[in-house]
Amino acid sequence: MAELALGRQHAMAESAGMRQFAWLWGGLFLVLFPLLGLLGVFMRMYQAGWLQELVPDPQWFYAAMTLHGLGLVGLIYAASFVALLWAVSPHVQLQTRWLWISTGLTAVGVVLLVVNFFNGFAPGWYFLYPLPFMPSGAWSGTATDIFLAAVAVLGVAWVIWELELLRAIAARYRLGVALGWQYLRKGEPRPEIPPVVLVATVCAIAGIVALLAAVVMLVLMLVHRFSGSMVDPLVVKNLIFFFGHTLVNLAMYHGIGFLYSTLPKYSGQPWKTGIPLVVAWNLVLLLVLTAYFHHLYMDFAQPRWVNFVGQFASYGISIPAAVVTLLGTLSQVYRRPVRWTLASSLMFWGTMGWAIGGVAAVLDSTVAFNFRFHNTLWVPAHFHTYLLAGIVFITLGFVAHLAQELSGKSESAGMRRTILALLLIGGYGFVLMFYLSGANGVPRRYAIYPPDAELGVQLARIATFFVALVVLGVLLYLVTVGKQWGAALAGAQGSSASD
Amino acid sequence: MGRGIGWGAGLLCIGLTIASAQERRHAAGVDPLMPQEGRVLYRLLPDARLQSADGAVQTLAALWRETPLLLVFAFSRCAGVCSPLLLQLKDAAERVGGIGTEYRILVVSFDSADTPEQLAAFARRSGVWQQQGWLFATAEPDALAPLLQTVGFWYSPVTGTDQYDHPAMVLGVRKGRIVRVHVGALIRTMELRAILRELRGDPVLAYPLPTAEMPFRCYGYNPETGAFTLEWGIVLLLAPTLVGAVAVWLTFAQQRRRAERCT
Ligand code: HEM
Ligand SMILES: [Cu+2]
Repeated sequence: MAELALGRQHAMAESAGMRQFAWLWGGLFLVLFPLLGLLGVFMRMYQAGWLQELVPDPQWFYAAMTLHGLGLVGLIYAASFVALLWAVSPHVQLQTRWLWISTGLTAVGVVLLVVNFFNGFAPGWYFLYPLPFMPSGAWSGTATDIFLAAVAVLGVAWVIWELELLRAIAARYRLGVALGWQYLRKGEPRPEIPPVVLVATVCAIAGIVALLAAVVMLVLMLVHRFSGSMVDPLVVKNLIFFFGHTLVNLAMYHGIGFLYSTLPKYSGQPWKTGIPLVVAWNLVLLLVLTAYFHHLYMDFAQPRWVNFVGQFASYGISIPAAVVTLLGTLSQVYRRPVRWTLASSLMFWGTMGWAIGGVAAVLDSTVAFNFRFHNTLWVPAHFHTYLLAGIVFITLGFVAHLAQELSGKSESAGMRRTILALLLIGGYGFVLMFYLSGANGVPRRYAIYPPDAELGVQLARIATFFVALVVLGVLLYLVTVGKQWGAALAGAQGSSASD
Repeated sequence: MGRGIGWGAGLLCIGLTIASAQERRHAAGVDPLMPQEGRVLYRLLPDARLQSADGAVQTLAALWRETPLLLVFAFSRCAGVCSPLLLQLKDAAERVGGIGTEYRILVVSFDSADTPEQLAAFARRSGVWQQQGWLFATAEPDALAPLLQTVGFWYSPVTGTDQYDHPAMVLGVRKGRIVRVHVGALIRTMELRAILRELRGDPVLAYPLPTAEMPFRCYGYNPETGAFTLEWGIVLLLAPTLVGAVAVWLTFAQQRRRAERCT
């Protein structure tokens, strides 16, 4: 008996720890997301031709592009992971000590990346090898070293919390159970598992493998760094996307795991695990590690069958999971008395954005389309749809949810509608201009559009208008949620707050 | 304690940022007087009537319609950077080839006092008079100012002398647009090659192509037969999945053992 009571006390302390941890990450997101987003605003204005006089050296565009891309991909991976941890924490016992260590190391990595912005480090977010080592004078060797250190620190940081998640799941469930295989047998599934556990298991396994790919990539880069001679760029490109693509993909899945467990709190309708869900997520686990081949269609030295695997794996990881999630979400809200708050609305629209961006992504992962769209603005178009209008919305929903749960405060309906309208109109208008540019062959990653892509300038100007709406929406969100956030600190620290 | 770490990290961040920004300013040597490629890239040159040193009259547009141009601004009495720049260009052009057929070098005087005769003498001194692909010209004064402004060129008289202070720059012009700006009197063969590639519209390689000797190759590809082979580097692509699978299995096995011990 005594042991049981001790266990409960321990659990209470851990959940208080979890609240503080989540609170801190929510705050980090509220600060970092707008700052990194502003770099995006800078870039679009630069492409619109309004800033060339002020910042004549386009190098700053590329440095901004690199920090914006790397920073936001990293932030969104980490913040959505925290949302997932928050959502599974009632089901498994996480040791927050490890989560704090990961957080501290992540902070170090972020500082290094920010420093490198001022070093002019600008090889793009996936730093395609051997570019970091061949800057043509645009940045120094020190900058490349700092970058490698940042990758190492972030890699360690994230392996730690992925392993802790996996350990916590393993402490409670067998592997087959956590993956829901009991649902595929005849008879009653025993034990039942909440969908978020299934998603968390898939994410943790894939996350660990992806981070191991980063380790191998880092080792190869270090071989170059210390031997001074080039290693095969194709193998490094494979490894970069092995982890880069997978990490971005996982960020999305983290958000979905959070959605499965949290939307029911607003709809009052439980979201249960069933056969389609189990099949879809096991398919994700099976294929997620091969979908990245779609980044290498243009590398003719890859055998053709690899491209086929990439194309069909891309379908396999997105379509079934999207279908079960979309149907699930719609059946949660369709003709049901949903409590619509800023949090639940953002979660809902984020899921829709994921689906819309997913369609565009599936198009682009089809070899025949990729042939046309590769390296055009179609690519930023689709990933900004499911990142900005998808996972960022869900994460903003998570932070709002957390702030409200911890502070007990809520926003007015008028404010909620205003914020949503601004984010949706602004967000979709912004990505629409990217889509139009891409469909017309405007290349991505140009600070200054060449005359053959004059249209890019016009569309960038229109896009800036929509971006201004997003900025306004985010500001209102910050004011609204920021207030709750301050009040939430007490809730996060108090151990008596209800969960 | 937590707050202390926060402040420490913050200060460290600011310190590193300032330090490295300083380093960068030194490294890049940003000088407001230096022309900046980013400011003028892809601009369309305004047209100008030119009188060449041999007396012929034609327009700038007529010239760039015929071939891509390297455009240089100079003045005939220059005792400074003009001659070294032209000599460098002449040297590099001889080594790279293609001048006169693939492209031409047009030297325009920015000094309205220059006459065609003075320019001809200047060209002779530089060893390129009537060489294939070299043109020297004065521009009509009304058209000169907008042209200089478009390309970001400036000059100012040096008091007490007949000299002008001005930057040394070579502009790559394709179909009337500025596609490259090279700044400085030194132009290496390699740099000229890169500019010419840009003028032709060829992709400019930023790094050497991979070769067969590269370590850790994952696939071999023979462009003649189109055959693919697997090479040892492929192991590196499989390693994360294999090691990850073992790690996952070990984690679950270990936790299971612990759970069994407890019950
Ligand atoms: C209002 C918000 C945003 C604006 C205005 C914005 C703007 C931009 C622009 C102009 C580019 C360069 C496109 C190009 O020419 O290639 C870009 C690239 C990128 N953005 Fe955003 N963005 C925003 C939000 C986000 C978010 C939320 C994320 C991720 C969570 C994100 C991730 C990226 C990435 C990964 C790249 C690619 C960088 C590269 O090519 O190396 N952006 N963004
Ligand atoms: Cu991808």
